[in-house]
Amino acid sequence: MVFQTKVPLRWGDMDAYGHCNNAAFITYLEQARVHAFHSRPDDNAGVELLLSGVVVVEHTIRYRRQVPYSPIPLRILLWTDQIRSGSYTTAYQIWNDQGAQPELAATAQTLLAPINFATSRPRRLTAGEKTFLQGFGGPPD
Amino acid sequence: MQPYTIEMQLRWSDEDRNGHVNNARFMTYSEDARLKWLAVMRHDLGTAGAGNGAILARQSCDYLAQVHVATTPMIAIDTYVVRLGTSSVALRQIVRDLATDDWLADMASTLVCFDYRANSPAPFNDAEREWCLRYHLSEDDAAALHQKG
Repeated sequence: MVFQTKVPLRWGDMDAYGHCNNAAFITYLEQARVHAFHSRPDDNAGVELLLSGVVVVEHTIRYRRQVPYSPIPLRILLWTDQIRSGSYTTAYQIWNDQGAQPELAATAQTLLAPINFATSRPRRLTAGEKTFLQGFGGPPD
Repeated sequence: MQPYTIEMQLRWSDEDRNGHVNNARFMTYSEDARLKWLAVMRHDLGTAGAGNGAILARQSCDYLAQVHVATTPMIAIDTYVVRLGTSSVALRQIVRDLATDDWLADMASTLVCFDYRANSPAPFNDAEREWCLRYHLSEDDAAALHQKG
């Protein structure tokens, strides 16, 4: 099921152009992933995955609209894709609800990999982790 | 003694290598509260800082507790006016855990009403001065606040 969360903007996310800087979007995606990991209190696999070690391998972001600072938070839809033995992809839609009509401000994908922080070596996803990640199936309708 | 209060969501990346919210992040929290307060002034009066703006002249922070995002996902920031000059306003900001009300930081900042075109301070107008005093924290109020905190 696609996960939906709200991420508030901060004034300092804006640059001299008066819109939220492209690099701030990486932080919005990160915050959405953290919310997703914590969204299933009855399933610890997500929080354990976060604690044991998962790293970003690649980000792809398509910026479609400018986002000026506003007290209205971004709405982020998140789902998982391509869950493999040693990596998975998280896909996102970032919606700007500031105007009369919601606006799709950006779409993005992040390739993530579980690692063992103690040895700095990649590792395989456990069956429990795979099941947890599969719970965020998409794409949205 | 009515503060201007905002709620703010902490971010995972606000924590540093020590696993707690980094000291510098508090400046950003203060900034968001300050700018939202000024936005209310602009909304109410049509101006905020004589129609020009305000610039930060001073900022200090007493750190009262370690903050961990996992246990404190949301904070509240109370903004009070402690002193009003001709072209400056001194603010006190209490950063609290939204869920527990525990004080996390006690901050002070001085804003100067500023004409960005002239690159110089400008006086607050009467309406702005009166508006600022809605949030005034007297010394007696401050003492009561200390006891509560």
